[in-house]
Amino acid sequence: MRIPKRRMRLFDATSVRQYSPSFSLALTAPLILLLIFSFLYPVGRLLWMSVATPDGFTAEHYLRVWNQPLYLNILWRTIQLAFVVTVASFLLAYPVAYAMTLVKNRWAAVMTACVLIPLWTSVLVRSYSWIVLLQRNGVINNLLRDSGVITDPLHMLYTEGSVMIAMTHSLLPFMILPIYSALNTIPLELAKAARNLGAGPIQAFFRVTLPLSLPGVYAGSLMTFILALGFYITPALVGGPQTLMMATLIGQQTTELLNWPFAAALSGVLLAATLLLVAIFRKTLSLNKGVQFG
Amino acid sequence: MKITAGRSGTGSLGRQVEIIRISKFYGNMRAVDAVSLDVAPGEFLSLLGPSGSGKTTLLMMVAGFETASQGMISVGTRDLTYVAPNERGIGMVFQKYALFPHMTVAQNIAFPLKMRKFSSDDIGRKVQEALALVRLEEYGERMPSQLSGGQQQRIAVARAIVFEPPVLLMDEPLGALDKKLREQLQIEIKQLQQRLGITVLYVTHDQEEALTMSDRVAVMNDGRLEQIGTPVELYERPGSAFVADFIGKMNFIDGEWVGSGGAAGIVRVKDCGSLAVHGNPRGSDTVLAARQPVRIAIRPEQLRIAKQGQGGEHVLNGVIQNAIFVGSYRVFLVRLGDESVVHVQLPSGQASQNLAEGENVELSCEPDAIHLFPARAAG
Repeated sequence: MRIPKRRMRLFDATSVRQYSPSFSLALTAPLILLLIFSFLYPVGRLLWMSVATPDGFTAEHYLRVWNQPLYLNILWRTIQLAFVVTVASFLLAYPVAYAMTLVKNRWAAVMTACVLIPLWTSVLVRSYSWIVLLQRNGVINNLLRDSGVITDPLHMLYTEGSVMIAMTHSLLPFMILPIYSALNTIPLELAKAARNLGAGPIQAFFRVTLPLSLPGVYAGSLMTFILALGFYITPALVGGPQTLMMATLIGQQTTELLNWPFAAALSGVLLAATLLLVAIFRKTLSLNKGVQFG
Repeated sequence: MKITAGRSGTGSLGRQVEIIRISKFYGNMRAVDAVSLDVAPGEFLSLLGPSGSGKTTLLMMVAGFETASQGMISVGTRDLTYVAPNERGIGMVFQKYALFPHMTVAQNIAFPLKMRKFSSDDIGRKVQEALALVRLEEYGERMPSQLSGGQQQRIAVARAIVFEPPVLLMDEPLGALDKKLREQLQIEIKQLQQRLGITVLYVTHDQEEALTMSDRVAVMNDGRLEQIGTPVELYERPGSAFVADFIGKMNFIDGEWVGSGGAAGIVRVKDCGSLAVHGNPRGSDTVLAARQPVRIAIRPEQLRIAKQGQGGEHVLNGVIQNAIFVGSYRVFLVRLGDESVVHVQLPSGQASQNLAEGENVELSCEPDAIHLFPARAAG
């Protein structure tokens, strides 16, 4: 708990207040300009496109999303899948992150590398590797058939399950790293103190280690959830026509049907849904924090 | 200083702690090497030693965070050697307090009671009593981060004793505090311990702290127990050169044994004279041969300074290199003939004012106050 404080003081010492406002603005200007031209402007154009017609404004595209159950179903499925992926990532990531804090020097480096290398590998490569694994004549089917477990190949690729597995795999590092960094700041003495005061290993974990690592869990979950909501490449490659997600639907509308205003409206809906869910998430968390951390 | 009572009756919590030939090996390294200790019920015993001497490892074995490679640890009549830490029922105060940052002060103190499934009424009452005991009644609803270091330390003590453990372990609990606060808390902890009658095993590398607080001090070096005794015994009769050096200030002078001169023996120091000494080297019964090299140790306050020609029969000749005024006493650095420098401490005033830097003087000492040790091993 002492280290963050010291770090804060470090920040105070080189506070913005030491520079004049105009100089601060000059320093941040390149980033602000970049954000305006590569983020705010395109998003604005997109939203504009979803409502503008040559003669004025229309809500036609939004009404279409609202009135056709298909599109709302896809939105709902996307949210569900993002949620499932987040939960699955959490369940897989926590033990890994926890183990990373326990192992000693060399193994810690090995584990960190194992977590980071997939992160540096293109999502495209990782998605194709799932195709290799899951397809009809893929590694898994061949193994199962050769060992006599099955006679007919399983249908695994292009299902919601394959999308979930591949997305969880892709997003896992985003969950592991924040949890790891949160766990790493918890002094080892605290778990020892809990044990000394009469808590068994499981109680010590649930009463001390887990609550103290929750900020990392929240950060990881939020990041994973947001990324999962807008995930495009993996669902496009390992998901079939039955497993359209919002992102793949938008892709279809822009590249195949060339219905740009409707694609823009879908994007607007996804953006609004994401912002809403994030707001709800943060609200719940801040309430939680109020109780736990004062 | 007054400690407000929160508890009826005093002084019967403590149990005996028995440590029998306990060892801890890490590969070839012997962190703790066959240490035996017997702590009486209600005794305050310090484990004192430099870092790496094995004192913390020993404490961790009593707490259950390290498993002994050999030997046995028992509290009362219960063998604890292989019992899980949470089932030992021993209180512990950690070096950095280890308060749970996500719980209030009251929740922290309630933690061991909750683990023991006390009723919520009992928990509330006992927490309040424990807070009163450390004089922080008003702080129950604060978070640990809102307290000063000294207050956090007191809360850690309250949490460690609230479930009335028979033994309290303390791992350099005052190391992170400044000197003044440390001295105040030393007295507070000592008084609390006496009031509760709890057995305390206290780890420190600060010899002054160990001498101030302890009934007995166990000095550790290199995983072994060097000497155990009351603070006065350790100070006045150190059993080895290591203890003599570690406890208090000590001058070491190399010399050679010349033989008995009446009741005392004589040790000659090269190029500067000789001193009359009592007895054999500590830790051995060997009769010294003539011209055998020995080491003598003398406390700075046991040496006397006399002007040249006035010191008596057995004196060491030297030159006052520095005279330092330290308030209630003066320290003189006296350079002997063999270029070694000896510290002499005299009360301020009277005779010590007349001694100037650069003056030739004679050092003498009562034979009883000189500790004789075997010579340093060559190399």
